[in-house]
Amino acid sequence: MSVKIKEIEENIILIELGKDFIEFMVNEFKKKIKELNINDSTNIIVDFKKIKFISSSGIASVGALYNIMKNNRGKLIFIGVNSNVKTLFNMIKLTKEIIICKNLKEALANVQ
Amino acid sequence: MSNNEKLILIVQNSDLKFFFKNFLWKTISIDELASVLKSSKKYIYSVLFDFINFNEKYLDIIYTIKSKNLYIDNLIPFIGLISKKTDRNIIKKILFHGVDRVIFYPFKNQHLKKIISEIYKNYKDIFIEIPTKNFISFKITDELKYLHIINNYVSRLLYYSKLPPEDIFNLKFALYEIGSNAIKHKGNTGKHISISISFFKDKLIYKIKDYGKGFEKKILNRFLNGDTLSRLNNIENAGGLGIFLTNKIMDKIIYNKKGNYVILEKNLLRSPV
Repeated sequence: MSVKIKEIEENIILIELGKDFIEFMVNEFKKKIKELNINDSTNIIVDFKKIKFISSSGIASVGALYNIMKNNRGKLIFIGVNSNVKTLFNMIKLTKEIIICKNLKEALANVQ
Repeated sequence: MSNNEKLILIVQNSDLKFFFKNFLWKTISIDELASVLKSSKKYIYSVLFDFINFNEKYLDIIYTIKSKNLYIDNLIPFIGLISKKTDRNIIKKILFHGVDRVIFYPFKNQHLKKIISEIYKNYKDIFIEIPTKNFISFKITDELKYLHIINNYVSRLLYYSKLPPEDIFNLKFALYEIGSNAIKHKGNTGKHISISISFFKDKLIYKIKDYGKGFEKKILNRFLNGDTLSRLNNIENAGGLGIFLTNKIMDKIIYNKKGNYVILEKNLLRSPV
């Protein structure tokens, strides 16, 4: 499994992504997001640290998650985003809309 | 020989030539191999050497292929046939020279089929034109995994350039996006998608051709003309996003009228991407 999801604290979900965030992993990601019970106060942290490559469908799927979360009180935070992926996010100004933290510790501090 | 024929090269042992006829693979002599390698018109699938009758000349050939950048790691597997009597030092030498896998002879037909299919499970339906110094082309079916294999090759190719890792990443991204777009829009033509890469000191050129009905330019225009927020709102429809980002990465993108043939250029001297 290349997408791991766990509830690390109450209302805080951690999503860990695998190496290549391309179509195969994107389908898994979408499926798992659908199964999640996201409510207004759910915080989601997406961990990109293992990512070596991402396709536009990968970017689109995290963008879709942003769309689900944008009107909620809960936060969407990306962690471990490498500079290559960040450049792509910058190109579509996604970095302006989403909180990006260095690591889980920083993300948790941001949530609380 | 048709361009799409799987080609495997065996030398010397006539029994083996007969054996491999069952696999529909071409068997040729070492001299023919040299002439095939000189040609840029033929497609090569793998190279199999008969090391049962060990000949140092074969190692020279492998060295030549590699040193001329004709060998594509991960894409054209080199296989060596050896016997149980083959000297261990020779086996070491063969592996040291870059043979990916050795197969012991004698073997049962079924056993060999199993080994071969295991080796080739990642290479099914991908045809690679023997590259010249600055040019390589691929024909792939509609499976994205082949695109990923090609991307890994491009990665290695660019690794030796002095480009920053971020540029290499972006160039891989662009190839993947345009390639996957071609796969998406090629339709049920049953034809392969052609991808060629020309690599020069100052320029990288991708040419991608599919035989589908082409893509709709209005999708791209919609994405290019939208503001940031509307882009993000429409992001779930990834159509356009990949092309939008590719436009940002590459210096020149030329589509044919139909939209099923695209040329992408990147000036490598100007950095960053």
